[in-house]
Amino acid sequence: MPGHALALACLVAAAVTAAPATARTITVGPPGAASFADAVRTAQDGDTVHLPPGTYYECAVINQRNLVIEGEGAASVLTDTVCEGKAMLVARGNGLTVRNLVLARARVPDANGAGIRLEGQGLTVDRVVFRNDEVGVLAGDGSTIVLRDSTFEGGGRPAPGPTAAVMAGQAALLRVERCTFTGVAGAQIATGARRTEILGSRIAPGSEAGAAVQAGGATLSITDTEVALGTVAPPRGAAIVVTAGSIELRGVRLVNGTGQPATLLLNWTGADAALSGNRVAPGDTEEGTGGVWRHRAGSAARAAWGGARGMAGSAKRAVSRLLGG
Amino acid sequence: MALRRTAPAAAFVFALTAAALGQATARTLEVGPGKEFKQPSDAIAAARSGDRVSIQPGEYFDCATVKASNIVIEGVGDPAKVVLTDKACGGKGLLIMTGNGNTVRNLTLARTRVPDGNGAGIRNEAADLTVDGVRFVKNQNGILSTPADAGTLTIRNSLFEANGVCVEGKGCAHGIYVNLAKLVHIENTVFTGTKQGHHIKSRAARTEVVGCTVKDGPEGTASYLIEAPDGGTLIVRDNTMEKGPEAENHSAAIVIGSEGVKQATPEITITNNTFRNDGGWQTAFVNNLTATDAMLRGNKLSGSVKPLSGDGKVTP
Repeated sequence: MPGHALALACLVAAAVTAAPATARTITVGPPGAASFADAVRTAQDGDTVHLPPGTYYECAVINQRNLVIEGEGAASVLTDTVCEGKAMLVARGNGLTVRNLVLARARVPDANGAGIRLEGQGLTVDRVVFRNDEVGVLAGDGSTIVLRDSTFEGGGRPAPGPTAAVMAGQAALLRVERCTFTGVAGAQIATGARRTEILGSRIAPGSEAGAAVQAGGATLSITDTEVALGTVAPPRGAAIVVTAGSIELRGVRLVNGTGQPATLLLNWTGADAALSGNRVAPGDTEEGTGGVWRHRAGSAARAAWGGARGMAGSAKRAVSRLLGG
Repeated sequence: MALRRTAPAAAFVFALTAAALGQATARTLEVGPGKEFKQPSDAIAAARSGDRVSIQPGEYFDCATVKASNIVIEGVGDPAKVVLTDKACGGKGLLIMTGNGNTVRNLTLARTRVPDGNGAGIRNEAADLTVDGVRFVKNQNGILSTPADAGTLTIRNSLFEANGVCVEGKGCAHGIYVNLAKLVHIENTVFTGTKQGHHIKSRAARTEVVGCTVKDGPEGTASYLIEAPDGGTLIVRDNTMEKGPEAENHSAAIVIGSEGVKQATPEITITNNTFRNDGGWQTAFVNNLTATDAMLRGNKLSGSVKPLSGDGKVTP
């Protein structure tokens, strides 16, 4: 081989080696991966793991970046199985996308078994049904969480937890877009995220009612969303409880099935909330501030107690504080 | 009179049919002093499908691999006096079932030991085993079933006494340890004095424990009474159960999903049992780690017992 041809070949080889590998799709089942867990294990950054219809008693820990896990809708079901005593999908790599599948029946002895536990940064959830899990999505600090066109139904574990369908800890951003919460016991969305956006959603707490939204981050914005209280009144009769930050509620409708007066927003921030176009029935209240001093005394006491116990994990602390645990 | 006249005709038809199909007539192979076979393993090696191995009273330092299918291995007279003891074939145990659809009846399987710690009275490596009136005494495992699908295992009228052991680095042996199977049915059987392991551990799709006595007793050191570590249907009905003062695991009597649920769990029904905790600590009668409601009804609990931990309903 002439010298220049060899050099060229080497150059080409070097270019091929250095170029980012093309993202692949790994399908679970013959002739693809033997199991969902195998598919995730063999996947590389940016790959897609495709889950054909079926019931999979499996879970996975995701260490790759920008992995996509994608099913074919209601028939692609991961069920019953939890990894590391935490979740069906434990997301440690950044930028995970989970799309178009069902995550069902997560249980752990700690009572906070999640559909997805985010330990990395960045999660996108699109058309996922969280069915009868203890927690739907549990996320740590600093992350960006986008939940879109997804459903949280049944499950929840208000005691001894307490838990919520979505627990966002001190995330950077929690965005809940066109999601439905139905029949989950306890609180629905507990967020200490710097910014929380809820839009176009329907939030109907289950039997052992907690607040639909408990927020304590810098900014909370809820728009075009319905909050439907069932027959059991939430604590203090309030659908949305905010302990800190700025509040914007626009086009939020309260449907109250409790038979008792209810409050759409319990505002414990001490600052004015921006409210417009919200609807509450006669007898219900759009905004209340009652109990704020008792709450503040209580949180100070809880913070001191938490500090004394040296509790690990600020997400746990934040959510625990929000949920009054 | 009519019966007497037709009986020879029926026998004749049967003989004719058997001859036409080219089947050998089922034989009884007798084992014992003065019999055709001196040791159970000799008769078992000679047995063909449909045969019966009939063992006279005696203490046999013997073990066997049962390759034939659809045979019966049984003791004559008092099951406590027909004893296979102390030996282990293939490093596995006293009777190794590699043929399908066999029955073991009316005898004692005792004292088997292997270095791995999982020597079994019966090691099942096939499908569809029936155990009836068998005494399993001081083995490592009473029964160990290992295939990917053992079909149906039926255990009736039997005794499991002082089986079980845990060997560091090698895991535990249990009264009964069934890996995958469609159904495990255990009826009218006594488990007592199990050591370290569980009395009953089953990964079957469906496990039924009915009308049994499952007791640690004063000296048993067992972990759980019943464990279904992979989930699966669990039916526990009409049993008498007890955790004893020496139990090594105080947490629960019955546990479902303890190693992570790996299969459908359509039903957990725990009814009409009597359970007593004789330990000086609190225990859970049922610890359900699956998302399937455990339905507890009509159970009588005494001692320091929490009826249910996990999903489910408790009805008096």
